[in-house]
Amino acid sequence: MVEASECRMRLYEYRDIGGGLLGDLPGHIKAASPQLLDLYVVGKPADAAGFSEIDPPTARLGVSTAVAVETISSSGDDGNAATDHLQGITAIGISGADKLVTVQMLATSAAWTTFQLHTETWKEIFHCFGSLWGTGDLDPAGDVDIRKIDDTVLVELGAGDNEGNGAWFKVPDGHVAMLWGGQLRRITATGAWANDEGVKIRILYVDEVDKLIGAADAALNWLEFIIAGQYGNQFVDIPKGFMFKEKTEITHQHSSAVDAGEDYVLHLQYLIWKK
Amino acid sequence: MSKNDNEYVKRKVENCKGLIDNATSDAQREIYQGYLDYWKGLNDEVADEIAKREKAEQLAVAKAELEKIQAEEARKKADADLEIITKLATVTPGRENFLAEEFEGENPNKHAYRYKDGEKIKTSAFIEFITTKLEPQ
Repeated sequence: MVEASECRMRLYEYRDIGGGLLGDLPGHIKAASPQLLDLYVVGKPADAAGFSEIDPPTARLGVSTAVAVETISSSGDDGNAATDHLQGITAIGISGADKLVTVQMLATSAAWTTFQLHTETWKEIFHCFGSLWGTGDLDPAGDVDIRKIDDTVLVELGAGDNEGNGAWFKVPDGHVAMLWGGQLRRITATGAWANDEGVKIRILYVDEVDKLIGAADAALNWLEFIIAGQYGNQFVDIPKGFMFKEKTEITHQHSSAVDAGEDYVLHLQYLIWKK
Repeated sequence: MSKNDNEYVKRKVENCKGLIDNATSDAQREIYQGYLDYWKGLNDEVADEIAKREKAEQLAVAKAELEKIQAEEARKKADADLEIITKLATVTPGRENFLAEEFEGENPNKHAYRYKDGEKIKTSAFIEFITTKLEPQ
């Protein structure tokens, strides 16, 4: 059974967070104009032996001073010509001002196979997705990468896939994050109710102090959500309220109760605001 | 385009220089300098690689040229040998005897024939003599 997971990550600005969602928040948090990081994961852990990271990025940028990045496509059919396919890619990450941002990076020539340097500078990039298309097709013609200046790929869109990889994030310096609910639900591959043994999800959080010890020991902290057995509930409501300090790195893992594909969907929301 | 492409690496180097020029802090400049050093290092490697490749290509061209000249010389020699053999074939035994006497008369210190394993073989000087004698025909 092939392990699989795909994360859809979106960042909502305060002005875009709807209706009563923030109704019960204290006034001082509302005053800080919190942002909402929304993760929607479709996964299939295949191995009962251990946990694996959900939709990891290709590489982490991880710099304390923000730097420029490049984009490039493997196909000449992506670019800024009207008849091209993908014309713009959007990234979510931490800007030079220690703020969570969503930035669209546009192709500036018809030949995106030549790498393009972008003006926005980043400390981290978590995720990417396609966001502008020509008349050619509504998805990338080639693999489109966001990468470091030394050509190390950070996150990427596969040809024909508008949702890139990356399901981790880091709480920016000077900010805090709160787990703001969500839901874990077992499904079958067809989307019908599951009838298998179960799935485990972990939210790993590693703060600055945790990082001082070795990487192998660093992942000591996690929240765990389990759906076990075919006769129990096939969904778990993720609670609100768990707090994460600034600079905490949050990754997500999954594991199957048996050595077989265990399909699930996971929706998580994190509210993040400046202290 | 790849890291083995000299133009690509050169463009990377130029980009890094631009980033350094426009850096907004010393820390950022330092990171870009790291990238520049990386690409400069690759640039040298690529330049060495290209020089090696060009040298190997030049060597291959020279070798091919030499082989062509050698083949041409071998062909000319084979043609000349064939011409001599053809001429010798036109000499009757009587005429050969007459020429042998003439050759040894003109060259008292040379022989028209040598003997190897009981076989009578024309000397190269005699063969040359015969061909010069046949030239006017």
